[in-house]
Amino acid sequence: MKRARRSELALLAPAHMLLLAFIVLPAIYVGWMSLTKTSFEGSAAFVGFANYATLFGDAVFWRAAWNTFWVVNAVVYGEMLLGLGLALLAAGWMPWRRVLIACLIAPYAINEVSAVAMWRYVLEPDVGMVSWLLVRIGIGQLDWTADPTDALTLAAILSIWTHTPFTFLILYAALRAVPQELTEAAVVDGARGWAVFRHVLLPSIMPALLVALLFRYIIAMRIFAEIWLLTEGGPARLTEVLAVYLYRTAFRYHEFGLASATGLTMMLLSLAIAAPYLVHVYRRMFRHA
Amino acid sequence: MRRPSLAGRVLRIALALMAVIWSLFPIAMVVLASVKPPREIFAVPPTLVFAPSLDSYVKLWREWPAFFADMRNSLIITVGATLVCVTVSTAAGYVYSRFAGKWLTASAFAMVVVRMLPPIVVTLPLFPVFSWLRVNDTHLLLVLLYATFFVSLATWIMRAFIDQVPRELDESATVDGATVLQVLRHVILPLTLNGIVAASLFVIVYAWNEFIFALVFTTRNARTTPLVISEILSTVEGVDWGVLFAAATIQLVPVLLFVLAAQRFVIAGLTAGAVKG
Amino acid sequence: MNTTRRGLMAGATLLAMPAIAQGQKRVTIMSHAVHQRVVTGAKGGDSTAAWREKNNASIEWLTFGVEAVHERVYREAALAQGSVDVAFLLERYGGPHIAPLFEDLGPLMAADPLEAPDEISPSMFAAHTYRGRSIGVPYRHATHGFFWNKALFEERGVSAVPTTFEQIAETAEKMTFTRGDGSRLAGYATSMDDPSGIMDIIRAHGGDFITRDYKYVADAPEAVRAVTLLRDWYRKGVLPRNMMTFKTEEVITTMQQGRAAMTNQPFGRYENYNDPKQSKFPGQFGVAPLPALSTLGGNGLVPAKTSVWAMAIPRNAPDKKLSWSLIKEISSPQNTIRAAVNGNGPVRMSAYDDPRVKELAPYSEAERRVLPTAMLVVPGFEQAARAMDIFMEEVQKAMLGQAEPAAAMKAARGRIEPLLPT
Repeated sequence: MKRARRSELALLAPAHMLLLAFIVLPAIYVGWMSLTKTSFEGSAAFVGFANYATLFGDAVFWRAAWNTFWVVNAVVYGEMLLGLGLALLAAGWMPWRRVLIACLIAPYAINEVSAVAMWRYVLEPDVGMVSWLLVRIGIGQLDWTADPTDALTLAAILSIWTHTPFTFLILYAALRAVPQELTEAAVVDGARGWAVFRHVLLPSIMPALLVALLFRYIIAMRIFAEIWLLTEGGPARLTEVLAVYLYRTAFRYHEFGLASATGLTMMLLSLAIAAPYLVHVYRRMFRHA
Repeated sequence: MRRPSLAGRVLRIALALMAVIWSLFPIAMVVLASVKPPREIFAVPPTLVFAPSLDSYVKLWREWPAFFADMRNSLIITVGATLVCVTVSTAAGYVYSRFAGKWLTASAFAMVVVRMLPPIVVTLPLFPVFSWLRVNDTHLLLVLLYATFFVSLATWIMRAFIDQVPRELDESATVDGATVLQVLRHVILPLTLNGIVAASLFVIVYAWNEFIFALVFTTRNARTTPLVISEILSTVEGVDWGVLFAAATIQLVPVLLFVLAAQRFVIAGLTAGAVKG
Repeated sequence: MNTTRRGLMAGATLLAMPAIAQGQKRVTIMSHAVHQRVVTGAKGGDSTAAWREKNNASIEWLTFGVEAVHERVYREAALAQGSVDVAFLLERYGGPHIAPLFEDLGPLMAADPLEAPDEISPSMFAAHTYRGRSIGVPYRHATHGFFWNKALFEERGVSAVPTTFEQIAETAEKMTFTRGDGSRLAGYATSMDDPSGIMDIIRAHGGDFITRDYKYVADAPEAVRAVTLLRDWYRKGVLPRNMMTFKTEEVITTMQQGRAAMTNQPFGRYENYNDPKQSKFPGQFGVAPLPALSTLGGNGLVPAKTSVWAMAIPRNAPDKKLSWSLIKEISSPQNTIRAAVNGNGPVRMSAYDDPRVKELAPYSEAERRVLPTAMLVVPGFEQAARAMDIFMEEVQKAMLGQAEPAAAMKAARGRIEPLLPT
């Protein structure tokens, strides 16, 4: 490989300028804001780590962190299983494969707000058609307006529904790189199939699986609209997640310092989750360099 | 390919049908409800046979004229963000594909790290800055923000596609005296159109559907359609579901068609290894 | 930096392409949807028509839910360059910290006074005055009355309208039932997004939340009794199962659909409930002052919850003179009457004497009766939004059975007291 000249390096500038201006500098500034008390008047007073003390002393924050933790895990692993199953199904024998894939990725095109509206429509207590059906066949409806666990479950289902296409696409693409006979065997051949899946397929799609897992972890941590539009974090702020906590602190209570502390905590948490992957990428990139 | 046994085939198709229902049911119900007479939307038990009616669309047109104006905003912003993102990513992807070096690697790594930060965090510091620049509630603002958040992924995708273009082609062009930009335009670009479609797909879907930035940074001039839909979802006279569904249907159709049309490029791109790095 | 800034601004202007055309001025009002309805409603007439004609201006209304409108207005008013000309604010979302975001109306009022300002109660002005800075002209009071659905009462064989809170409680249980076709009816419904709905119930028991001298009192036995009643109601299904997510919007839908029999809401909602276009029970809703527990004595009425919406000018409004002239126009005695006919709670007492109001807003007599003793939800202070959220959080915990009412109200004291001004 060649070394780049200055004119070629200049081609990198626009991309990095964007990242610098809209992500890196703001992220650093958030760090500073989290050490101040700011409100609308714009005067920022340095308060040291007081915001962090408030944050970590707030039971609602811990509740939000806990909710985020379990929703994110449910979403990521639920999606992984579903996505993998669908990818295996689509990669094996299948008539009208194109049509099937098109159907499976359709939810990817739906915006979060409409997705919430759609699921609320079919699951509205007492009047939604799925609620009606569930009650009819004796399962009982998802009580998401009153029960915090049910509300979070619905948010998780929603999130899985919108994001499964992403996981599915990545895993499907990875499976296509594997000889199709193997995929086929893994699905049909019972015991031998399991062995094939376990020892041949899984290892070969493992890198893609990890990438999908990681990206979904990072993105799932940001879960906001699903909760905000379903419950606004209620009842009793029992369904709040970190992003909702941040939004409420900043734009309802106007405590930008405390919100920044929340933001920085979210940021560090994201980086911590990503750390193993980042180390892996780092090693590989610099080995090739 | 070996054809599975009859039972295997039936099982396969049954599973596929279930998967399709899971994916499409909510969408189909909403599209269907948008053409139901408004009174029947919440009929219990649900009505399956009904005389289709465009009442909800008419009402949307009359009561939410903003929706159609905002549709234009969404369009401008989506096109803008895609152009910016794909342009800068193609340029960056080219450099990463063709050249090497410690600093180059470090900067590529930085791009990956930056991608990990949650967007909602940057709304806090950007708000006063944008206010000072007086760019709040402008299309430009969202164009740049949306482009930024997909620069990393798009660069990755473009790099993978450019890797497949034989190096000799741009080298011979360079020997013939072409500048880097000319090489990009006349050699690389025509051969990586698939990659551009694949990279665009992610940006387009994101820009068309994004909610938080639009919620925080726009009020009226640059307000996008998801925001109007959220306002319809919380109107004072009670949610008008028919209108809501009409809006949701109009909003989803273009992007859904695009996703379906572009999916094979994305699969090709992902197979080429775009996300393995 | 300056050149970048100019460059960015030029680019922004190019991209922004505002829809301004035909040399008409565009004025933007940010408010709750109810304001647009009462200002421009057909029944009483559009208060802005003459003004628009005179000023060759068009008005654009940007309307949001109650909490969202404040979120938006404050954010908008904090910008260096604003585009909102007039904003409607509710006193309980205000506080001294937001006062600097709005124009001090004192000088404007002195230079170009409102018509007959003395008609508007000073306490309503006071609700929007912080440290001597008057930021809002009162426009609407939302004073709660007690509503019931006559058709549903009849269906269940209830003939007497409750006149004490004990009777309300009894009737609410009676009105909770499941019909033959499986549809369920709740006896009572109210909003849960902030304390304004449940405040009436607490005050009907003689309790309160935060007193005018900033004392937290919701852990006193009266308030605890009210919260206990709410919990019991919720358990028994007297309150709708999904009430925890109710904002005022959902209460309206629930009542219009006939899914609940009684509620406490602003008197002006009479229009929404009895509107044949929106309601399944047009003409079937009755309204009266909300009665208190009979053991409390006094006049037997709850000091009704009221709140005061006022018109303010964001500090960054493009043309403040124009904003002020619009506010003056909307607030004039004539337009107050128009709006009252459209269902507004008029802040000028003279509106109640107007024959059209008497005829078209039949609830106005009852409303006028409770107005002198009406109370705000909380007195305004910087952390009011947070204090109300904490309070609702604890009330909801008690209702869900996650804490005993007394314990929850005590816990709320611990969290709210540090927020109160001293």
